[in-house]
Order: sequence, then structure tokens, then C-alpha cells
Amino acid sequence: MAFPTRELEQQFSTFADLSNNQFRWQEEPRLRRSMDHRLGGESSGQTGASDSDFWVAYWHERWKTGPQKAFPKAHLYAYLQEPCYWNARDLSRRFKTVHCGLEDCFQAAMYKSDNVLQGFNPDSKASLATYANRAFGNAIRDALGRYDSLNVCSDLSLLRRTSRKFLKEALEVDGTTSESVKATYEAALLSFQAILPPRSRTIRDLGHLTPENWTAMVREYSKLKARQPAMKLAMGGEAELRGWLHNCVKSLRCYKAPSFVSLNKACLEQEQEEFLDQLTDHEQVVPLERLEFDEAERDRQQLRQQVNSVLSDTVDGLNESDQMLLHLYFCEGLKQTEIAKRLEIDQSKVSRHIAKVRKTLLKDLVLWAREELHISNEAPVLKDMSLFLNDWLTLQFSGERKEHVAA
Amino acid sequence: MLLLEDLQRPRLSIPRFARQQGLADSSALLRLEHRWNCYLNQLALGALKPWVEEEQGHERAVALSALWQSVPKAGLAESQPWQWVNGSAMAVAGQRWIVIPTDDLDVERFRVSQEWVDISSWSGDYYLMVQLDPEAGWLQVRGYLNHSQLKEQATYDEGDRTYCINDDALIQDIDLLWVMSELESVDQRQAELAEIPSLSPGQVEPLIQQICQELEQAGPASTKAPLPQTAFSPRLVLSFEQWAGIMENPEFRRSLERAMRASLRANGKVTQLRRWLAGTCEPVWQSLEQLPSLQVSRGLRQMPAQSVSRGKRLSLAGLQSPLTLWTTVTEETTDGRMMVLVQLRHQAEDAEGLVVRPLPKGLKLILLTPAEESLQVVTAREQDDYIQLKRFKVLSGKVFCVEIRLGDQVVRERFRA
Repeated sequence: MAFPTRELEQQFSTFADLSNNQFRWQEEPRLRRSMDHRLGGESSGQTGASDSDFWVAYWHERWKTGPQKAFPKAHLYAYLQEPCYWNARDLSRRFKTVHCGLEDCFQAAMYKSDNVLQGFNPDSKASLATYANRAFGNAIRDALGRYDSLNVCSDLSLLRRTSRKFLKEALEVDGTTSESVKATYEAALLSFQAILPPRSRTIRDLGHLTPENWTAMVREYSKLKARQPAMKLAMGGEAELRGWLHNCVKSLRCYKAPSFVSLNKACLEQEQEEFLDQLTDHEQVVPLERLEFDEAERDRQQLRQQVNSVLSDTVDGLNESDQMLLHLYFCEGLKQTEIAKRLEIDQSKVSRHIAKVRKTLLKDLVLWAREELHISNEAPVLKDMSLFLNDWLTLQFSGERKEHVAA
Repeated sequence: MLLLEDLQRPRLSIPRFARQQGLADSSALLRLEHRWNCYLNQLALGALKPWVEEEQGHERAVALSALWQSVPKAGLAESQPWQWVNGSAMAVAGQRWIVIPTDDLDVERFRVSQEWVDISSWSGDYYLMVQLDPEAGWLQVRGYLNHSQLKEQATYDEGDRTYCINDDALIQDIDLLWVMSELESVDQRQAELAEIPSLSPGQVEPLIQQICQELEQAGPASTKAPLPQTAFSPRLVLSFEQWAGIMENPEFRRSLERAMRASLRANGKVTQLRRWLAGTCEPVWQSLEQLPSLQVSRGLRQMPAQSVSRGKRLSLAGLQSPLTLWTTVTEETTDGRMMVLVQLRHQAEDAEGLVVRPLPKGLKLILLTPAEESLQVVTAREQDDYIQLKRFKVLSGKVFCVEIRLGDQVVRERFRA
């Protein structure tokens, strides 16, 4: 799949369309107008990373503190498409499963965009893209792992370990749209969880439940129904509850990623065009804001360069086999099983060895940060160092790979 | 199994022995939910231990049962608090880790019981969030925080007394934990904690009684699944300070556990009054010496000297202190029947000494036949400090029932003469 790069204004106004096994950037005209307006009609032409970072900071600030949340958020969502796509692509390649493809991975990650925006600390030394890389990577791994679990565990354990929120997502993806049907299934799940002995290993299928269990469940369900008349829950006896729970299990088993049919644009619909009409001169980028950003950005770049040189020095000091391992894992992107085969060692040793080498790098980085940054509170800096290291390893990886391809 | 190669949040496999150990140990616990808790924690420790040993080198053995040094280490389960809260303590490289496992499918929140955070003898340096899939046989360390980060950043959920924080606010790089354990940390890992006032044995006794009563009302702790039962959490019955006061002291914890076992055994049973006369009695029924606050009343003085009196504390919602159901029995030698006097009092001991509180107006004390036919009813009036049923005689072996009713709250006690 070809991946066209985006101009600056496109980075904040276009969304990935992965349908039909093709990759397209789809423009959202209102976002585009909003960007054009702010850029003063000049085409950005050549853009540096710091330009994107400035606009990230600009929209993040407005999303956090401004009266209008939807537009800034939509711009940031557009920006996050790229880290999301790269993570989805790399991970769906690395952990090929028959059932979860690139699109599922992309959706699972994009679903976490809100968490990414909430969790990102603009004062941190790491950029939003760096932070998003970790968060999206984790979200995809979680989704793949969960899909794996969904297919291993028994029906009863599946229902026991499922939250209402999770069931709702699964039902929606499976095509359930009616609110009252969703509420009915949720109530069935709750009644089930209320009557089942909190945790039990011995009973595995719905068929193992006793008549007393079902009676108790029906009672729980009617209680729930009576408590929320507005939800218009369906009448339910044992037969109905049995059927609903079976349907829940069915939907859960095929659940891979939340649907975000409208995730990209839905957030825009809450706030209308007014926002654009309100754009006046004071919404233009204040030059001072840009100046301040540039100054801070210079510090950040200097820091990044220092980090890079610390890491390069450490890698140079590693022995040949450790360097080889890093090269195979991060540069050639080999799986651990493949590395094990190549180096003729046990696969479990590969992951431990990579972890060991990574720890050496991390340790040097932490020691350097302690000495250079004179920090009073270590925790946020440690988080940054861990993110920097990942970024650096990935960059090494893609940088060397490009050279590799060029050669 | 899918191999996710997550370097920073390692996935470990759960060894077979951990499952067996978990099954064996969990059967010793009282209630099903605690058994599962024990099982899950055993799996977690079983998977973490070899990993930690590998990281640390075997020469620095990992002490797993580091939580309660004073408890004889008869088994892992006994040195961990699994019948009270979820989570385990590990001693790793001179630090104390608190490991909190969950087997939920979609974990988003890290929930740590307040005990692990606010009781200083329980609290740890680091808190690890661990997700496991017992059926697929893996465990993943999802992230960690130190004590002061948890205290500062997490929100406190009063509903179940936990500190909660979003998964992605954790430090999601376990390598950092190892690196930091090698380096001298300059950070303050431990936040300051308010001191928990220590309790005297005299203060603890009524608190334990109160928990046992709630336990009895929660229904039977079935050992045979799958009976419906209400989940019962002893940790939420008292105020946190009171509960922490018990949890901090190994002797008090043992007393609580003994009392809970006894009251579960007694639960649903008929109290055998003839045994009282023979000198044996369930611990929930206490003597006058054990209930020093109880004043001897006129009704009691009229009972013959060889009578036996026992009191049981009962809690009703909305009352500041528990009621005492005071039952006195004497064997009538002439016709072999038993004479019974039942009183209900509302007295408590606090810092100032004995406090006699009036009974709530409208409180009813009712004598019932086993078929729930009412034989006597006494209702508390304004400012009554006790009420009693008229003395009655019961044929040997007959069952009767005493009911206490306030509004829609009902407590029943069954006796056999």
C-alpha cells in the first residue's frame, strides 16, 4: 500500500481511508479551511518537523483550555492518523494473525486517540508523536492479545470477565444499533455476573448452570428492568436470557476493534459551522506565541541531539553480538523467532538478551539525565527517557533500513 | 498463543506448579471470592518469581512471603492478605513491590485497595499492575508507579475504598523499574502517611462482632458452587481507620478470622440453649464478663442464681452502636422445662465509659413459633433504654424464634431449648 506524505495543512485536515485495501487521505473541508485561514493563505511548501510540532502545541492548548473543543480535537485527530498508521502497519506485519489485519489494528489504535490527547503532557520533552507511538503500539498489542484471549476462554469466563462498556462496543461492531436491545443485553450480562459465584473455575458453559442459577438470574434481571423503566428492557424469562447471553458470547468472540464509523468526523458535528464564522483576526497565530514556541523548541532539539549522542556512544561501546542483535531486531525488523534461527540460540534467550541490551541503553540515558538536567522530580523525566529511547531505536531502524534499501 | 514481543511490558507464562499451588492454597480460604483471589495471586506470583530471579540473578533470592513477618510462614497463602484484599507483596532487591493482578479482558483502570497504600506497614515502594489470562496461561506486567505517584495522581474511590488511575498514566516501561532498582533513587518513593490510631483489644472486640453479624446477614459462604450468594466484603463494614487498626495488628487479624469462621459455622443454625447450661457456647454469644458495659437489670435479678446469661451484638442500619440481645436461661427442675428471659438493650462503651442510649422508638421485639406465629410483641416507646419479653417457659427440644424489627429491617435468632 503506497503511503502518500502530507503537506503541513493536510497533516491537520485529512484522515486515512483504508477501505478497499487502498490507502487514501480524505480531506475534511472545514478543517482545511480552518488551517488555510490560520496559515494566512500561504502554501506551506517545505515544512520542518518543528512546524508540525508548533501546530500540535497550538491545537492542544486550544483543546485543553479553549471554549471550543471539537475543532481543535479534530485537527489533532487528523495529526494522529500517521503515528497510528505506522504502528498499525508495523505491528500487523510483525504479528500476522489470520483474523486481525491492518485495518483492525488501525481502528483499535485510533480508538485510543482521546486517551492519547488526555495523557499527553505538553510540558514533557517528548513530542506528541513520540508519546502517541508508545500509546498506539500498546493499544494494538492489547487488542491483539485480547482477541487471542477471547478465543481461548470458556463462554462463562468470557461473560464474567467482560465489562458493560466492552460488551457495548462488541455489540455495536456486530451491527446492533437499537439502544433498548443493547441495554437489554447489558442487563442480561449484569444479572449473569450478579448470580454467578464471583469466580469459579469448574463451570465453563452456559449449559453447566443449574435451574436455581437461572431462577436467580431471571430475578436479578427483573429487578434491573424494574429499576430503569426508561430503558424499555425486553421481558425476559430463562429462555430469553439464555438466548441473549448466547448472542453476547457470539458478538464478543468476533470482536476485534471498536467501530469508528464516524470517529473522524463525528466530533465535528457537535459544534457547527459557527466556529468558522467566528474566526476573526485575534484567532490568527499570534507571532509572539510562535516565538515562544521556537525558543522552547530549540531547547528540545538540543536535548534530542544530546540524547542521540549519548545513545550512539553507548551502542558503539557494545560488543559485536549485542550490536548484531539490535541490528536484526530494530533494523531488519526480524521476529524473535527468526533471530533465534539466524543466531542459532533459544528463542526465549533472544527476548531476554534484547531486553538486557535495551536496559543498558536506558541506564546510560538515565545517568546522563541525572547529571545534565539537575532534576528534582525524576518520574516525568524517566518517562521521557523511555519514550526517547523507543523513538531513537525506531529511527535507527527506519533510517538504516532506508539506507539498506538505497544500497 | 500469540507472541506479542512487547519489550517494555513483558509477557510471562504461568508455570504449571503455580496453578497447582494456587488450587491447593485457595481451598483453605473461607469464601469463594477470596479463593479466586488467592488463586489469581498465586498464579501471578508463580509467574513473576522466576522472572525476577532471572533478572536479579539467583544468588539474590526473592522473598515472596515478605508481607507479614510475624506470621509463621506455614504457607504462602497465610502470609498474604488474600482473604481481605486483592494483591500480593514481594521483596525484590531491597524494595517492596505490591503486585495487583486482574483477569479482566479490557483493563483500563489500575485499582489498588486503600490498605496497600495507607497502612504504612503494608505499603510498598512500587505498585505493579498485572493482567493475566489464567486460561491462556500468560501474565503481562502492564506498568508501575511508586507510592508517592500513586498517592498524588490516583483518584480515591470511596465506593470500594480503592485508589484508581488510568492504565496509560502508569510508567509503561518495566525496564525502567530494573534500571532504577540498580541505581540509587533520588526520588522520594514513599509519600507521607497519616498514622492509624492503634486499637485496644477492648475496642477491637465489638468491631469484630459487627463484621461477623454483617457476614451472617450476607448469607452462607457456600463451598459448593454455584449457589447464589451476596458478595461480602469485611473491609467495608467499618470505617477505614477502624478496619486499618485491625489489619495492622497480626493478633487482631487472627481474631477476626477466627470469629468469622465461627460465625459462618454458626450461621443459619439454631442456638442450642441446653449447651449453654452445660457450659459451652458459640463465641458470638458473650458472657457478662465479656460485655462489661451491660448493666444488670431488674428482670435479670429475678432469675434464679444458677441461670446462664449470654449477649449477642446486633447491628441495625441507622443506629450509632449495636444492640445487644441478652438471653438468660434456667432449667426448671420441677417439669424439665426451660425458663427464658429475652431483653434488648442499646448500650455502648466509648471513650467516656458506658453510654446507655435509648432504644429507637417503634423498635419491636417479637417472640415467634418456628412456623412464624407471633406469641409476644413488645414495642419500644420514647426513651426506653431496654425492652424485654415476658418470661416464658419452653419444653425441652422445642424451637422458638426471636425477631427484632425496625422499619423494614429484620433480624432473627432461632433457639432450641
